[in-house]
Amino acid sequence: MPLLQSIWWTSLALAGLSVVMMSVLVLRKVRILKNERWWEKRKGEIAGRIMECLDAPADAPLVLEVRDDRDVRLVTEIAYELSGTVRGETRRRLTDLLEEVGGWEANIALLKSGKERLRVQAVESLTLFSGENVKHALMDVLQDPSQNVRFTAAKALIDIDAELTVSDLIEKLDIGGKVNPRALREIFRKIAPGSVPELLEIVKGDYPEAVKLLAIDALGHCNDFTLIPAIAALVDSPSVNVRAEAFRALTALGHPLALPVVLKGLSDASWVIRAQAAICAGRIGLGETLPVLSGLLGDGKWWVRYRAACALKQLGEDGIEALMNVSKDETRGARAAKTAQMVLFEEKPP
Amino acid sequence: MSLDPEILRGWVEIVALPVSTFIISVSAVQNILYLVQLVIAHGFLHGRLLVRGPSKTWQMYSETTMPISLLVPAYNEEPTIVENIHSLLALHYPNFELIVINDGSKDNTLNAAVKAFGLGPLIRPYETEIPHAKIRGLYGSHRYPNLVVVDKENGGKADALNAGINLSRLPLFCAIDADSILESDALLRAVQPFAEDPDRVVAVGGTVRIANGCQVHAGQVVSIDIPNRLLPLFQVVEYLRAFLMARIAWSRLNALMLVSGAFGIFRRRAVLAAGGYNTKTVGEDLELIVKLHRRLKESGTDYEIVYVPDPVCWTEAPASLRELGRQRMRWQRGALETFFAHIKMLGNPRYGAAGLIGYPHMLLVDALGPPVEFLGYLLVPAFWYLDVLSWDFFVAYLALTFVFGISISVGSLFLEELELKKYPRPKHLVVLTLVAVLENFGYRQINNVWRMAGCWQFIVGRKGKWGEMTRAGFEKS
Repeated sequence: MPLLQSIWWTSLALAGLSVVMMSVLVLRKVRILKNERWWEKRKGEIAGRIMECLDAPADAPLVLEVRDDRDVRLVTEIAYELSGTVRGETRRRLTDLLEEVGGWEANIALLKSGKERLRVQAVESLTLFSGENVKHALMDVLQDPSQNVRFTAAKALIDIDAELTVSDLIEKLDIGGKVNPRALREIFRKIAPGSVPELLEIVKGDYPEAVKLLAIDALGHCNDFTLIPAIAALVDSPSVNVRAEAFRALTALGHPLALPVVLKGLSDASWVIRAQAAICAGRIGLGETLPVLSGLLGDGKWWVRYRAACALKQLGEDGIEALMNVSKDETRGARAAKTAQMVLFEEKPP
Repeated sequence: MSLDPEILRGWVEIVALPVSTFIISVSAVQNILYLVQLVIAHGFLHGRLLVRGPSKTWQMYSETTMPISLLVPAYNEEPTIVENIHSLLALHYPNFELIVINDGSKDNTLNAAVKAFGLGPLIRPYETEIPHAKIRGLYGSHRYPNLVVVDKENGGKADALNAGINLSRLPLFCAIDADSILESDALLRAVQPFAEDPDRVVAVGGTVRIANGCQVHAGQVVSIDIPNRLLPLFQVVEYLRAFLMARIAWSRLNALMLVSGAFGIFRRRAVLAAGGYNTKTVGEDLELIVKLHRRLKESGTDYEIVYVPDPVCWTEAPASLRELGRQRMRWQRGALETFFAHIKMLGNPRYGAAGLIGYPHMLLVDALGPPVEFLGYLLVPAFWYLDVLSWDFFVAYLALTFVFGISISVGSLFLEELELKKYPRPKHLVVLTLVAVLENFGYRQINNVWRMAGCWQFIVGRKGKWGEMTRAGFEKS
């Protein structure tokens, strides 16, 4: 085909394709809007009926007529929305109602959906039910190919107090890979009190740093002071992240037993650790660190100076007096004096 | 002395072929890149987990957020500053501080904020790592403990942001324009990449959309509509193309070169290490991202700069030719200033995808694009006059260029409707499709003239300043 002709044909094909695509999109939009209107109307009807059922006397039978699968999905959706606001007997009735219309089976079927969003939704909805069945179903979901679905299932299992081990989490959620560590933090904290030996194993073992950080944080939120030596030992780690997390854990535990390592942290080579140790000293109220904190007011890093000054202020009268002295002491340098002055006179907004 | 027309014609014939081939090649490469971007963007949008609605977003993400300082530079914003602060304070986010920086406004921006929020003088220690114009005072109120208003001498937007970065005490900061509206869950969504990969992600950009035509109530977009004027409509299509294709695609390849100044979240420490915003350019947002790529690659840091399409920031688009022209000239000048300031990155494997994909793309779109297109418009009449133009080929090529451009716009509309669904009515899709066709006849050409004027300003070395824009204001519901 000559060049000129191919250009024209290409243009024509592209133009045709564009017209077809936009026509399909517009028709699809019309259909979606129609469905949405139907959905909203039907949802209103069903929601009204559900509220009537919930308000009925406790011994009244639960009767909710559903026409098809779409109605069951609507009941599930409404029940899930209501679940955050209802408690006790009303919540039990809500769950019974959902079971009555086949909500359980519908959600179990949805777990096999090809759409990740629907599987996540099904996992969340399953938490409306109680009993061993839910635990089994959610444990199965921990094998789901999608990390998001597995993660939602793990969160749901923790919420219903299912027994999950740290190794289960690491293996099933692929924590060594890319996963939201902040989201996992809550899960780790929740299972920490029952999993201390496993967490200590992780901290000492050959695990990815992200996992170690989660374990250290979880240990710090166990309110178990016997863990302080184990956490304190981590401040010798070559990793700045591990050392910083250890100081954060010690701050969370808030026990004066941390004093020796805090003193060590205040002279760490990394400014991040010096600042973190200063926070720790201030929060626990370690008066013995006062001379070192006072010395840190002349540190080369602004954050260390600022955190040291804040810590001194938290130490009470002695700390404030130290700040006053530094603010007037010309031999300590302008940096130290300025930080001391600024923190001393930092005002809460009027 | 007069030049023999035959000799001239001979010369033109010698030059015409290579010049035409060059112009056609540049345009072809650009179009192929658009196609690649479209495919990558579709793959990403289709594969991501959809979280719909502010309450669901809160439920999913609120526990995993990181504290953010919102930095809002304000210059002569007296009519809108109070409403904008109210709107930002009402954002759905568990832990943020709002730092409004009055950059030496000539109107009563500061007084309006002080009066409306009952602010008083405040003493607050802050880092002084990045230089900026002198701070005259800080203001706060116990009624709004997470609001700080900074009054400083005028230094431009970049300078105001630098002051805000110094004052911020949180690990992340979000730079937003005072006249923009963030969707209530935009921060929750935009911060997710930081939460998911806290060690690597240094910057995240969100989507900027045109608010002209939308109904605004209490600082929130309550009803989405398309603009009723042609100029903002053209910009809606342009923004869809830019945000839904190029940014998604280059972000997937870690070659994202721009996080819009209207809405971007940054790791404070990384920006401080890069020296903050450059006050010498009008393209400070582009320059910061390019600089971050450069510094981080040079220091051997493993990092990521990410674009997320779901968090949306609504902004008012220029509705007059004069305002739009000024904006486009400024963008072009800023792009060239950045391009030549970091030109050693061009095609340099040391800078990874930024050097091998992002920078060549800047060369093609920002440096070569306007002059090549302009040259095309000049040469066609010249070639016609000298009778060396093949009309058949010219018309066919022109048709292909236009149709391809329209198809790309349709492709981005397709992505928008399939994956994001922001525009609620079928009429919107029809109008935007027509606009995608119409923009090829006049708008595209005038845009090129503005960009050429921007190139000229860059060449003659016109100094950058924070452009003022006359705004019509959002439609109140």
